[in-house]
Formats: sequence, C-alpha cells, structure tokens
Amino acid sequence: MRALGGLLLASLVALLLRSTILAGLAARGVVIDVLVLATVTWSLRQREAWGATFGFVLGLAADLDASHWLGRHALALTLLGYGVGRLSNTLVRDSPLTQLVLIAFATALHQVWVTAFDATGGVAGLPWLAGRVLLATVTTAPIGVLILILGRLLSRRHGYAPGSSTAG
Amino acid sequence: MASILPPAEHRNVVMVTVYAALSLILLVVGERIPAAGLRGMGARIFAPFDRVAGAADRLLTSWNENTKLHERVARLEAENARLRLMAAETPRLREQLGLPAWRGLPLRPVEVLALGGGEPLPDAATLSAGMNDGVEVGDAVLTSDGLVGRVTESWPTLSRATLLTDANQAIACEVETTGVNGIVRFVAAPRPRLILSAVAIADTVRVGERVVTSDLSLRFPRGIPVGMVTRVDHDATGLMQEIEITPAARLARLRHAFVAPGPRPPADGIPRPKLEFEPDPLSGARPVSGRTTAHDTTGGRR
Repeated sequence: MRALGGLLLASLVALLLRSTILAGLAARGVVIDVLVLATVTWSLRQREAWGATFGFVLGLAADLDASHWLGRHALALTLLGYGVGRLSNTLVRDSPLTQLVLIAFATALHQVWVTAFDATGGVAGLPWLAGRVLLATVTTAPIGVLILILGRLLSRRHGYAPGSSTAG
Repeated sequence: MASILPPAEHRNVVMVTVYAALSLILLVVGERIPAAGLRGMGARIFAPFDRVAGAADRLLTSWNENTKLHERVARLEAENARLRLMAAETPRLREQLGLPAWRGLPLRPVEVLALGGGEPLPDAATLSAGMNDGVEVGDAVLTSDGLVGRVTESWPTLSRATLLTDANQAIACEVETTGVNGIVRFVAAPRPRLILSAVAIADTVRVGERVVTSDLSLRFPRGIPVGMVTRVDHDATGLMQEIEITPAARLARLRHAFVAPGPRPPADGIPRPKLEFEPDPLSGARPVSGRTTAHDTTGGRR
C-alpha cells in the first residue's frame, strides 16, 4: 500500500514538473527527460515489478497528456522500468557511474523511440533528431545522478546494495 | 517458461508482457478511443497543483515582469492615442469604399495552468476556464502577442487548447501587407518550425513581414497575428514557396491567454469559407455576454 502511494506521488510529481517548469525549459532547448529519470530512479529502488508498473502508469498518463500516439511512452517506460529493475539485481546501484550510464542509456533509448514518431522529414531530419537525443541524454543523466545522490544523502538510506530487497 | 523461471520472476514476466501488450494495443487503436473524458479527469486532478506551481513561478518572475509591463503600458497608451485618431477616420473611409465594418473581438482572459503533449515543444495547454465560463470547442486562444491555438476539449471548469505546435493544426493565413494567402502548419522534422505553405512561387513574400489569420479561415477570426516571416524558400517540388515564420506568441512561456469565440458552425453542419460580400467579417462569432472587447467597435455597420 505504501509502495502504491509512493508510486502515485512520484508519478504526480514527475508529471507536474513535466507540464510546468520542464515544458518551458524544453521549449528553450533544454530537454530533461523526467519520465525516464523517474522510472529509472523508481526501478533502481523497487526492482523490476514495481519498475515496470511505475513505467506503465507514468507512461500512460504522459500519453493521455499528449494529443496523439496513446501507448507510446507507456510501452517504452514499461520496458525500461523492467530492464533497469532487472539490472539493479546485479549492478552496484549505489555507484554514481553505474547510475550515470543507466540513466544515459535509458534516456537515449526513450528519446530515440519518441523521436521515431516525429521523424517525417526523412534523412534530412536525422541530424536534428540525433542532436535532440544527445542533448536530452547529456542533460538528464548528470541531473539524475545528482538527484539520486541528494536523495540518498537526505534520506540517509543506503539500501541500494545488491540483494537488499527481494525482486517482485 | 514456468518450469525455467522461479514463480516471482515468472509473474513479473507475465506482468510486463501484459503491460507491453496493452501499450501496443493502445498504439494501434488509441486514436479511436475517446480520451477527452480521461484527460478532463486528469486536468481536474492536476489543476490545483498546477495553480500552486504556476503561482510560485509567477512570484519569482513578477518583479521583472512588472517593470516590463509598466514600460509596455506607457508605450501602448501613446500608441493608443494615435490609433484613436485613425479609428475615427476608418469607418468613414470603409463606408466610402463600400467595405463591411470591423467588429471588436470579444475576449475572455484565462490562465494557462499547464503545458503538455509534444516533445520537446508543448503542443497543448490546460486553460483555467471551461464550458461554465462560455469556453467552447473551436474557440481561438491568443495572447496579446498573437495566436496560440484553439480550444479542442472543454470541460465544466477547465479546457484544453491545442497549440500551433501540433502537427495536425492547419491555419489559413495571409501576409499582412500583401494579402498573399497560405496555410500555416507546424513541422517537427527536420527541425521543429512553423511554415507558411501553399504559397505560389510567383507571390512576393519578404523576410520581416507579418503573417495574420485570413478571412478564409473557418476557425479563426481574421487579423490575429500568427508570426513573422524569417526565411523564404522553395518547397520540395519547387513549385510552391515554403516560408518559415517565427510565432508571434511566446509559446514557451505561456501564463495568461485570451479565448475568443470561434465561428459557429452553420445549421447544415457543412463548413464553408466566408464570402467577400458578407456584411461582417465576424458574422459567425457567437455573441458573448459580459466579455471585454479587444478593440472598440468602430460603428458604422451597414
């Protein structure tokens, strides 16, 4: 029940940030993929089952917020949540480097998937789309790591060691 | 699979498969699902939080904005005095030329609670007024700078506007000085931009000219600024021009906007362009009680 409350609260915060502050930043060219950030953070803490559920719920809400392509974010974030959750069983989740690589990889994958739906300009559009993916990746990954470090410092919890919680 | 994987893992795999299958189904049939109700519910849930976030944002920027607005008010007051003189002449001149009179555009101020949709540019906005306030689907949404979009979903206390940056929007526009007609639409690739398309190669359009909504538009009143020409090029066929325009409204920083009633659909339900000899450029607009007007009615209706 507590996890469900946390899931809903985290989704709410992520969506609220996305529709207010981050929307303005994105329009100025600073793309922070808060959907991926939230999904990866959640999956690292809660493992694959809750990670996939969180990804699906958050993605579906983001899809409803958009005018087209219902299911676009839901599919990508479900798989990312599951994948990161699975990896968190074997990786050192406390390592900032691991987190940086995970968030960067997940952001790049998500952005490639999302931009594929906008890629109507043929080959001419590829440089811009590649730039968008790169920009989102290099902005989201460091911010994500900082948030994770800050979160850990604030909560003073070090429960990220492998095998500290059961999967599912 | 059940024999290979442990039960918890098996359950997780099944769950992810169900989520993924649901997402795929939504991707295929999602456009046919009426999601307006769900969006309305979401907007109602998020509205209080959006208001709080918006208030904090406004508080942080209010000092700078106040200074700018003071300067702007002073400038507009000076300009207004000049325009009043011209406005007195205009009805007489229009009457002499046999042109229909201009009517003021009734505007309802609304707050932009949240931006949503597209990435990286938002393609929708949640507005703080809905059906109870007279906001209806089809109404134009604009700021003092220019057109923002139109209302596509309206709920009792909130509404949702689709912005110019939605790829499915197409707006009949004209170049203000020359009257060259075209269609403004948003293209996401190769890079996101607004373009004025369907302009014949022989038409002359110059960089810096203003693009406004055309009288041919079925959805927007005439004369709302849409953008400024920044680049003139040929389209892929080489037969038409492709004109890039910068939006007049600051779509990245929407806080307040106005809703203006759009043309009412005809009784037979078949939309048709307004004809040149129609007595009133805004003949289709719904009468709105208690709304302020952007311009004074210059009188002299024929």
